[in-house]
Amino acid sequence: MRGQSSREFVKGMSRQVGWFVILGAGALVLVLLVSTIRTDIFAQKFNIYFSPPSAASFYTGQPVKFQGFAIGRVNHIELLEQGNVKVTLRLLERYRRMLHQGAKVKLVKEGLIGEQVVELTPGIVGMPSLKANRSIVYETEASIEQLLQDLKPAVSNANVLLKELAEFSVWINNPEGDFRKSVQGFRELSRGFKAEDVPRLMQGLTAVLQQIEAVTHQLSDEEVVKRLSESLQLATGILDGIQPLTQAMGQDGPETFKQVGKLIRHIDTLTSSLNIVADDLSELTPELPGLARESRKTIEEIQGLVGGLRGSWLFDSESSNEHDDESIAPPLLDMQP
Amino acid sequence: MAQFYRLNAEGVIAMQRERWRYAERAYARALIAAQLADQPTLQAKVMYNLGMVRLSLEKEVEAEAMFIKAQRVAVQFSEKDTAMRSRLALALMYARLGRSVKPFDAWPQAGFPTDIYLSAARLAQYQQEPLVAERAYQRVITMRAESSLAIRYRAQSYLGLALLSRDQLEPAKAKKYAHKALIACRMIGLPRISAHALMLLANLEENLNEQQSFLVRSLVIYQALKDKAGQIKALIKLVNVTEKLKRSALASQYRSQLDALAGSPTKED
Repeated sequence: MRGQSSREFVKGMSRQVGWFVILGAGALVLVLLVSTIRTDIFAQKFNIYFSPPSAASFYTGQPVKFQGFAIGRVNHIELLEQGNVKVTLRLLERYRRMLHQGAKVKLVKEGLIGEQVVELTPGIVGMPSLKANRSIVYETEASIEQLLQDLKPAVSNANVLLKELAEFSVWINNPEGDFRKSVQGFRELSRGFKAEDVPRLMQGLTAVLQQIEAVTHQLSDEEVVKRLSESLQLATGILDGIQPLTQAMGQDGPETFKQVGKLIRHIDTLTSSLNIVADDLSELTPELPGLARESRKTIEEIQGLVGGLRGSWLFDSESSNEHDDESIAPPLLDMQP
Repeated sequence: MAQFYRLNAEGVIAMQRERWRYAERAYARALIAAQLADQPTLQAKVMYNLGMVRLSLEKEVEAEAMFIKAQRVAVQFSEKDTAMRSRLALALMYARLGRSVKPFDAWPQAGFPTDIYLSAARLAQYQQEPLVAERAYQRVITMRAESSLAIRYRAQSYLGLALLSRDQLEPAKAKKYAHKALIACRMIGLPRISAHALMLLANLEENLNEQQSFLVRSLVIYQALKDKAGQIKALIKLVNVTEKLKRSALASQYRSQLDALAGSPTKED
């Protein structure tokens, strides 16, 4: 009796363990199935490719979007023997019927500071769907006109900035000025500020502007080149003519503090303008990303220079935190002449 | 806690009226109230106030000890305003007394209460850093507040700028600031600062009659305040000016006043 009941017990246990294993394995398969469906691992796909002027801004695995939906990824980027770039996109087959011939591919930014994604346009509705393994047109977001528009505020801000840097430079280098007289205290207050940095950074900024100018000469559109050259000539002209103008105001300390405040504000504006220009430039021609990086580097250097000044009580005259503390004894300042 | 705030406020008002001993008593009691309530940040604040009133009473050793204590407690309990105030007060005291210490370099950043910039400005002036001093004074002046304390600080800043301009050999600028200091003083009645501004104007004035007029006005205020040092300075200059103007009767009158001043107490409650 006893042996029989223990056999039945073992049998029952085996059955339960068996069910447990089957259910566990089933759950695992289900999870895998759901995840593959969700990630489209086994979904049917097709390839298309395009040839941008530069591979900069593209990377393998970069999302490809259509009307805001992710429909595939950048599968492969290669440099062909002729020196052309070929970017292959791997897209979900189920979206192919929405993509018609005449569809174009372009690089767009998700939001103001988001990452760049590849976006497809639907093409001409009524035309047949896109065929696999065919080339489609790459449309650059940054047209020459767009670049011109973007460059305008950058150049005008650079003009103002150069002017202010020149004024600042004259003031700090004036042997009779306040700065030289109290240079020690000033240096401590401005936390690492170096007077010698200003002319160097001015040279850097001017060089970047000159490089942009040189690049615009390579563009075919004569009108664009003409207009750009005019703006940039203005920028460099200001540098030449600035010296006599700034001599007089270089004498006055508090005025220059105001100048530094203005300088900081213009650097902020200029940085954002030049970032837009740098984006445009990197899309336009393959040789430009280096220049874009260069201009960003210079701007970062200038920002680093004035960043230390920003928080200083000497320059930050617009702080709203200042107040009287009525519970404190007024300081005893012996001011008898 | 109500007791602490009442006593501390009494001390501040008494200090503004230059009733030093009354202020000292009020602050001492406020300190006990803060200790009983176990409020270290308030203790640090009142320690600083107590240091300031003791400095006014020329008890420099006690003042120094109080500032050091206030600074220690303020740093320990992250009360940055009081820590900075105490540091500046100590540095200012050493500068006034001519004690050779390392130049102050831990200047305040933006966002501190006005009195801190005022102290920093005066200290920068002592340390021969006119650019820093000027900027700090300008910072106090541009404060928009219209409380009596804000006006006091503004008046002191104008006077500071006037002294600074005088030192930089810019008499016109110095006069302009001294007049601005006088205007601010008249708004709420700040006799000591008025007297200093008038004395400075007398020093800057080339016209002897004008000089005499400014000196007489400052002497009257110093006399009312029983400020011996101020009276002596004004009288010495008055003797000099009246002699130049060949007003010998007046000159001898001022000279006898000067002689009579010897030995009189300096500070009154």
